Amino acid sequence: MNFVKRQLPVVIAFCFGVALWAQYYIPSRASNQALETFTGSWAIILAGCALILGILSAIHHHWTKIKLKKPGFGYSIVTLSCFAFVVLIGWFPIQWPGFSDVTIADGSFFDWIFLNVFVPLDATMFSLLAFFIASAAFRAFRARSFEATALLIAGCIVMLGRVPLGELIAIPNTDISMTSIAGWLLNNPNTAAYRGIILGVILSQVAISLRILFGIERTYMGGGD
Amino acid sequence: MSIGTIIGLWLAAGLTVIIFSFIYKDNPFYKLGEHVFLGVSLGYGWCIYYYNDIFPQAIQPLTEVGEDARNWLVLIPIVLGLFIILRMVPSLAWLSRFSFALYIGGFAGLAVPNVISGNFLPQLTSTINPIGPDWVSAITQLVLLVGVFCTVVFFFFSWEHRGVVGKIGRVGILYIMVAFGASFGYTVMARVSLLIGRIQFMLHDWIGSMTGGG
Amino acid sequence: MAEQRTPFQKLAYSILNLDRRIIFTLVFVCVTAPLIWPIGMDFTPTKEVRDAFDDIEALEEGAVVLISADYGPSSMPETHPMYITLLHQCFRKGLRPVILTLVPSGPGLANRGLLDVLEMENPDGSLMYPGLKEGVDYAFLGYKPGGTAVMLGLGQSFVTTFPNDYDGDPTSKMPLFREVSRLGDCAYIFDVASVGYPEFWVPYASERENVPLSVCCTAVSAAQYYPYYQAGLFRGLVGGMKGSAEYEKLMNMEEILGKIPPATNGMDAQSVVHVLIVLAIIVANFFYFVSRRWEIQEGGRS
Repeated sequence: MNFVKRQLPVVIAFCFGVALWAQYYIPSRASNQALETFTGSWAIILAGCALILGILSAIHHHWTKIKLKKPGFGYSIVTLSCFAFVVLIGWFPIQWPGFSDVTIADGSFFDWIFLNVFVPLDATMFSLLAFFIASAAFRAFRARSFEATALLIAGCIVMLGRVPLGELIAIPNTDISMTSIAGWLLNNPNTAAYRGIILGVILSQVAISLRILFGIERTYMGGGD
Repeated sequence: MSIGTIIGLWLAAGLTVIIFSFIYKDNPFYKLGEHVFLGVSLGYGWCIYYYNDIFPQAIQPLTEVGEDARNWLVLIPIVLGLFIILRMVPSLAWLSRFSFALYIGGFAGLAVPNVISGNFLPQLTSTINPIGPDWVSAITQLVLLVGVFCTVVFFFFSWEHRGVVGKIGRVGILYIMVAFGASFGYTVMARVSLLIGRIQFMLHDWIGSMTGGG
Repeated sequence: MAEQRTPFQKLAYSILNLDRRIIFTLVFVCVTAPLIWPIGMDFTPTKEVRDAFDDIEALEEGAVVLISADYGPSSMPETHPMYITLLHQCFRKGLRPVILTLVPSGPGLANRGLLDVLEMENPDGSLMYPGLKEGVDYAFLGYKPGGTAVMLGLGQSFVTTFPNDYDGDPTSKMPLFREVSRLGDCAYIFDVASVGYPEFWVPYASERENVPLSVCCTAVSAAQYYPYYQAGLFRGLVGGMKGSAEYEKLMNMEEILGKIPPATNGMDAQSVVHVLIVLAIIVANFFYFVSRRWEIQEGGRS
């Protein structure tokens, strides 16, 4: 049983990984069909189930909070009520009065809730960050060292250069403006640094893939026996 | 403008103001809005996953009639998907290892040749270009080449960063700071854009609908 | 020591310890005022955006463009204007967009945007793009999870990866997908993204199937995508709201919509707030260094 629980998944990972790696070099009709089945069907179903697991975990967390009457459980009741309401209007094909369609189609109650509840809440949550980044820039960003000064100067150049105002901050009778300086900075030193980072990331991606294939990296199996 | 649209606009505006109230201080209205968002997004996700993924990929192939043959092979990923969901049951959580092994092992194998040929090699070859023809492009090319080299040396921790290696690493840090500064500038731009979007909605859509200019 | 401070010193310390709600109010005023009283600052599209625009303009009529609308409400002001402009460009040139999304919050906005463009009317009341048929001239496939799995699946078959479109109609019965059966048959890929998918479109789709790719991304990710643009892996790069505004200008969206388009409309506010933040950083750093000098001097005296 220990083999089935601990070793067999590693064997499966190795076999499937090597087979799909080999497919890249042997693009026959059969291997293409196998790739089509794995990526176009199986992997998409598995990804969807993983996302459903995430939803169920969140539901379980809030349900437990309500059951044990932990502080703030009233908000959990709100969360689960909203979840149940949206599933009711979006999952079941019920024709709601005043709406032209059912389930998730355009013109349905579900679509109305998405546009008038989900969109403003999601958009406004993230728009709060504008206030906090301005406050952080004022209170925390100090040119305490040479490197910090370089960071701040580059940030200010991009902030002024990547707005219409940047074209007005220019040396007369030349092509040199804050916009062109920001453009040069982004296309050269910025590109160089990020390319170095990207090369390192790709190499570590390859290293981790190899570790997974050879069973050295087993964190995807989770804990327990 | 229909009554549904008007109600929707006022609901959206009200929710926007509730979330913005957090700027003054944390309050029960903000927490309410936060938890409504959480519940609605969970329900939204559930419906979207079902109608866009589970139904067409898993259920429909088993229930199709007519000239489209039923695809019984899809039972394999359905069973593996159920194993993933069984992760919520502690005594059966080990079953999900097969599903994750298949998915993660498969994509680990796919990643190696694709990222090397599709990303790594093009990035490398576009760094090493002939220097010239004029002095402006020569300096630009040198800046790029030196920057990539110095950044890679900075992240190479198998050598101690002393002497020549240390100096090259310092140049790499300077390039990285410039890049992070550029990212910071762009991040400020992104966050401000999101706020502009909400204020545009409040002014042009909500207030505009009342004044007839929306 | 506080009671011996000069008025300038008191000013310096009060600015350094400014209540953040004053900063919030300043930001709010700087965003709202230019939206109510526009300044109308002009701007020139950058090379990165022009490259993306010119590539789409060079496509022949009837070419299929795959548009991946990988964004949600949290990045709508930066990416949605670009998506709308791209759809207008495709329909005006007689191109055939196939739209999909890899993020769960994407299909609602992408579908709404597509319908807004299809239902748009000319000043005389006639449809701007008449006679377009779903499954023939365009397709909206909806959402699929899996990211790279979807990209690789599209490389093999559209129909297997998306058996139905967003409305539930079978793709196997659509004439469009009899002509264009897989990703390699498409003329172009355009990723309008708020998450990290562009860097996966490169190895798993664009380079693998030899289909050119351009990207519209949020400003948060724009800086890190310049290496891809410089290497030619992205043919064009449209970064943030400014990028979307530049694309709107190239497409002459003000004439099409009959009003200032949304991304362009936000540029004045963007300029004013950026000036505010740069000035805030300069002022704060000035008073910081001045106050540190005072503290060192006071420390030396005592």
